[in-house]
Amino acid sequence: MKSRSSAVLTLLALAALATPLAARAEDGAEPEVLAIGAAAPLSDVKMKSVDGREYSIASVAGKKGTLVVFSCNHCPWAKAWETRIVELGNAYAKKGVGVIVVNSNDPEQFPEDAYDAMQTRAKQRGMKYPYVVDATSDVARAFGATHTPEVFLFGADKKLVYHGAVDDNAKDPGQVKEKYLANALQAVVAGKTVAVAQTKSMGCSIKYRAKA
Amino acid sequence: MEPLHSPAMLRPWIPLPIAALLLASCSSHDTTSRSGAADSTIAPAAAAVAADSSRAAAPPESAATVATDVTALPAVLPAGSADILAAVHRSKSPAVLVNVWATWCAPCRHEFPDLMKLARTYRNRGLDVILVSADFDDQMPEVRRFLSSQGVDFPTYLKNEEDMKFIDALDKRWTGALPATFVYDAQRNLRSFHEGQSTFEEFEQQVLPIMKPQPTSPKEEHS
Repeated sequence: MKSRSSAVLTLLALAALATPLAARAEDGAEPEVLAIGAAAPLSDVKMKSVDGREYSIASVAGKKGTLVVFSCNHCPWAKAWETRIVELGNAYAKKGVGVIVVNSNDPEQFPEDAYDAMQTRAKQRGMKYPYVVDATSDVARAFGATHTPEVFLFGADKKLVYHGAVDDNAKDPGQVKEKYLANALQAVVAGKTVAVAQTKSMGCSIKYRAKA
Repeated sequence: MEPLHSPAMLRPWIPLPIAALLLASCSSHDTTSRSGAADSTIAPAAAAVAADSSRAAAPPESAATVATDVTALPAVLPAGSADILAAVHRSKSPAVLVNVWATWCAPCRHEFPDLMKLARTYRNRGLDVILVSADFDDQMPEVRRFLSSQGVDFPTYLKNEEDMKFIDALDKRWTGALPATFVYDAQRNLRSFHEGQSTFEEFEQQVLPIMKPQPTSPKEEHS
């Protein structure tokens, strides 16, 4: 009996250790977000893009770096930054940065985040990178992503070098003082250290699907 | 950042909520869902704000009838983090709850009736509730209409500070997701932080340990 209890405890301890670094509890608990210097979790998980193909973070990784943005269709803050995200994504995809925008929202809660609506939005905005469905919301959970939009930029060594906001002004692009993501992308492409590695912004909480 | 209006402007609102609560508890309630116009064009956020509950479930049936007279709507004061924290310190209640929300935030709207129930239940039992909208300032009419629909008839706040400064000033653990709830004790230490939607019971769990214990009956009090 004693040895069985010990075995159970050991298994539980091992399971806890095996939990991804950025495992995130459901709404209501404090998230554990991916730390600077960490690798992208679940990077091999394939996600369906608006072009009908499947992509993983690993499959889009660029020589210079990889940009992962958790975003969606419905959130006003994601919409506010969307043009800027598209401009940066399209520009830096040509400069050796792999780009993927991930929608982890449950379309049952927000039909505006349904696949066909994502296809329409991608076309409207002229996205030239995958805009994918995180079908279980597990990728967002693994990253510890909590809201949209939320940016994770990895360097050439596939380690996280920047996490946070697109810039410091969602409402008015003309009033932006700090272009956090643009600066980080510039640094990554130049092989330099990102000066401001962590920032924050408000946004719509990610509407996680229920865990299977 | 604009400084908050002088504290003198805010002082009258402290005794008002007691009367306001009596009025709120008597008002009839309709389910209302306030939605901004959906905007699918490329536009700055100012024009593109659409409540993300436009197709989501409507808030529970405890909202007050929407006031149509703008002058009757509660005042919403622009405020930065320093102003909010000053308001916390200025409060005379043993416990203060700060809730940051937005009209476009569905979980915020869903929890609002329970938040107002909490405010009404515990206002005279040692809890002050401070509401801060994270809407853009040009959404003020929507903000005030929503507050009115929820029976809020005391002044609240609208964030007018850049996100990161505001977020970190309230709590560095806060990622910026909404809604966010902060509970301060009588010494104004931050005792509880919660990111995400809460039920009435979950709000209670956040505030009750911090509030002053109440006597259960006169007999027990004097025994």
